[in-house]
Amino acid sequence: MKAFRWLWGALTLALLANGFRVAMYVVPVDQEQGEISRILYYHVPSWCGMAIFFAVNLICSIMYLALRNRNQTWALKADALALASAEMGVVYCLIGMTTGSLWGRAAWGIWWTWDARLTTTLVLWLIYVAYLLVRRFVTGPEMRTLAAVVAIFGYLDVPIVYMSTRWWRTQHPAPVFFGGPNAGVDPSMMPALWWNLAGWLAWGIFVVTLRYSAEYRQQQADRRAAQSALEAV
Amino acid sequence: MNPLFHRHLILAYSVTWVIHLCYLSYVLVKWKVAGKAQSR
Repeated sequence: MKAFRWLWGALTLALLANGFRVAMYVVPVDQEQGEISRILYYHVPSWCGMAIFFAVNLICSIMYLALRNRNQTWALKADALALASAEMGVVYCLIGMTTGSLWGRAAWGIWWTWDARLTTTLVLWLIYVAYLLVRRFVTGPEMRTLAAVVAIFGYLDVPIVYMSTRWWRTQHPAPVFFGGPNAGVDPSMMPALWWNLAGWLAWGIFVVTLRYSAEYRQQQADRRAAQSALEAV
Repeated sequence: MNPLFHRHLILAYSVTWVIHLCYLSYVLVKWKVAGKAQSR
């Protein structure tokens, strides 16, 4: 398992290094925006990563609620994965907003605007930060149940973020992918996008498995400590 | 123009790496703490 993990890490770094090379030097520059358009190759994978890991968090939260009274071991595993994927999703969301802000500054001349896509994304980020704060500061046996409920309600904002550029036409560009007949990027730009998508998703899986293992080990240690304390009474 | 000389582009790529590496450091600290707690 350990060898597989480090092999996966090495593969991830190789994917990311090639993704950087292809994004910077292989694919042609966008004729309208110039070099700044290359932010796309880090910006879009961040949103894909966020969507995937928040979906994992949702599934694990539902699993925790379903299993908590039937199978404690699997419920705790689901809970550990829910935490790891939520943290990773928050990181990807933060990166998506930051790279988007830098892109906006170069393309529109502003760092931020309260348009539909940006505002709903900020709200989504704040919801998941609140989820992590619930996990950090709520004490007692119901903490995990409460966090799972927050996660399920929090995920309701994900489809709103996705649809925001379709429902409201504000500052953010119209959808590039799955946006209709005139949407999409030039096929010559796709290799950079695929390499970076693969690289950043592999990175996310690598970090989430590490975080999951750490949380699961911590849960085991806490359970043993609680058991010892009960036996000592 | 070499894209490496574009200020906003390089800033976006650097910020991405900095945030990811900061989070990875946090995860490694958690990993170490959990390992110690388990061996106690």
